[in-house]
Amino acid sequence: MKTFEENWTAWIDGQLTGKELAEFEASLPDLSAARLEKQEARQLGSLLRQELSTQGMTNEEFFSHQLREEIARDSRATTPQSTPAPARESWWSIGRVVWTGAASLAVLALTTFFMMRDDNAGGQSAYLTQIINARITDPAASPDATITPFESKDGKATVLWVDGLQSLPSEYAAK
Amino acid sequence: MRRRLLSASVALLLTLSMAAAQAADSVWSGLVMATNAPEPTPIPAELNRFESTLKQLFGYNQYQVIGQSRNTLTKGEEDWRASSKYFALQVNSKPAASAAYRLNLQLFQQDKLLLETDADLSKKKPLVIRGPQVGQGQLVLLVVME
Amino acid sequence: MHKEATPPEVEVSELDLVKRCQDGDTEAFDQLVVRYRTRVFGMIYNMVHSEQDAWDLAQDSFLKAWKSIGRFRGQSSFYTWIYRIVMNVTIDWLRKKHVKGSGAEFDDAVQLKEIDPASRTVPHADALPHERMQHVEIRGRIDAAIAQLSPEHRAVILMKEMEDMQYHEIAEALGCSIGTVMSRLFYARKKLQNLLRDVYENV
Repeated sequence: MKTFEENWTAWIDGQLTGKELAEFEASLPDLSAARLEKQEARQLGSLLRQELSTQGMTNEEFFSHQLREEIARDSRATTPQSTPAPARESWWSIGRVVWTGAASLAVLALTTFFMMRDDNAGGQSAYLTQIINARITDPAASPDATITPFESKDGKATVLWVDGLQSLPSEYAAK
Repeated sequence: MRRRLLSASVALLLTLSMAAAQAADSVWSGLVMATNAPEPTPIPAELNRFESTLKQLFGYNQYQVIGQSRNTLTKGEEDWRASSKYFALQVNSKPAASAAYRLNLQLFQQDKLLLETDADLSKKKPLVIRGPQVGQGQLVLLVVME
Repeated sequence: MHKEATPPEVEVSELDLVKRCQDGDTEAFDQLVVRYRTRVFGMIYNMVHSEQDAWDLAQDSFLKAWKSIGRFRGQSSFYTWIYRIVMNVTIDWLRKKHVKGSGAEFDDAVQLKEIDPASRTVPHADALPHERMQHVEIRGRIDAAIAQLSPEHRAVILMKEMEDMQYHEIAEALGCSIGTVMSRLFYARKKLQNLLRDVYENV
């Protein structure tokens, strides 16, 4: 059995018919006042439809473009590893694998040690712009902001994509 | 002996020229407002070579410079600021690897610090930073080694 | 304002597009995005009142839709299905931001005692002069009034009035019963009538 609120809502929306409608209207203490109320509810609905539907989206194509990029990034991140080649008989015995592995690790450790000693040789190519330490300060101002660095598609720029900064009114665009 | 002298001279010359080149670097910093306009104005000269990159990244059809600063780096430890009426981009530089600078970038909205980041800048690739949305447009920051 | 693009030659059915999406066709998903992006954005904007946030939440919603498209079985329309994702994302976000306004008081049990549903509601705001209000001012008043609703009440009133969704569609999008939808509509309308009477009577 419907509650009063459910019947009222259905009545406002013209969803009550026949016997249900007659019974509900008969149950109202002041039908004319209620009808006035119904009219106001409909005026409210018209106002909302009229005013809220004007909210358009600027840059729709860019929205789709950005989403495509995000989906592509997500796909690359979740691509499963390729299956390993089936095992076959080879020169590599267990002993050889162990010794080679140990030797490789030693070489790697030495290389890393010497590289770390030299600040300028930290893998910073002269042609690569590197984001060292991206951070958002003043959490009160930008509590949900994040920075994502990447290279532009044409390779001509390094981009710091900042999300979550508070939107500002158009007056802030002044020179 | 001669070969050694020659090699040393060449090395010295290269070092001096590299140092000179680094000292003579010019860096342009800009605060750019990206918007969509029914009849967009032509892209400013400073942004000409980035037009396709900016449009590909942000999609807007009009880009206007609302604040800028051009600085010549001599020691590579300079600080400067590019400002508009309500925003300021504060840049502090330090020398880093050859032909690159390490920059500390701070974006202020009046006296409020919105974001801060450190980045290495080289001649090959400018830095493009997506700032906050402003009205129907977007604030974009550019730092370019010229 | 832009209208949603539809293929000029043949109206590709949504089920066909969804099937292609389920086979990994991103172009098919692109077409679905084109169909719904403006409406999704508009709906979220009216919930959160920030273009940047609405943009990001719309992106999140579509990305989630892409990731879970394999689970869509066609038991409801794609439109209702995507709205479910949109509402989950948006309401979660609002809750995390602790957007309460007077929504925290918006408890059905409390309201039952306080409101005589058949009586004429009394406006709280002072009546404005009988002159035409500017659009910006009207929009501001509406946004402020909606902001006083809880996320769930905002969702029902916007889905009903903006999208003209049926009760069962709203119920499906919000994961609640039809009775709950109708009850929330009742109280959301009462609250907004109280707050906006002077607006809709003077426009």
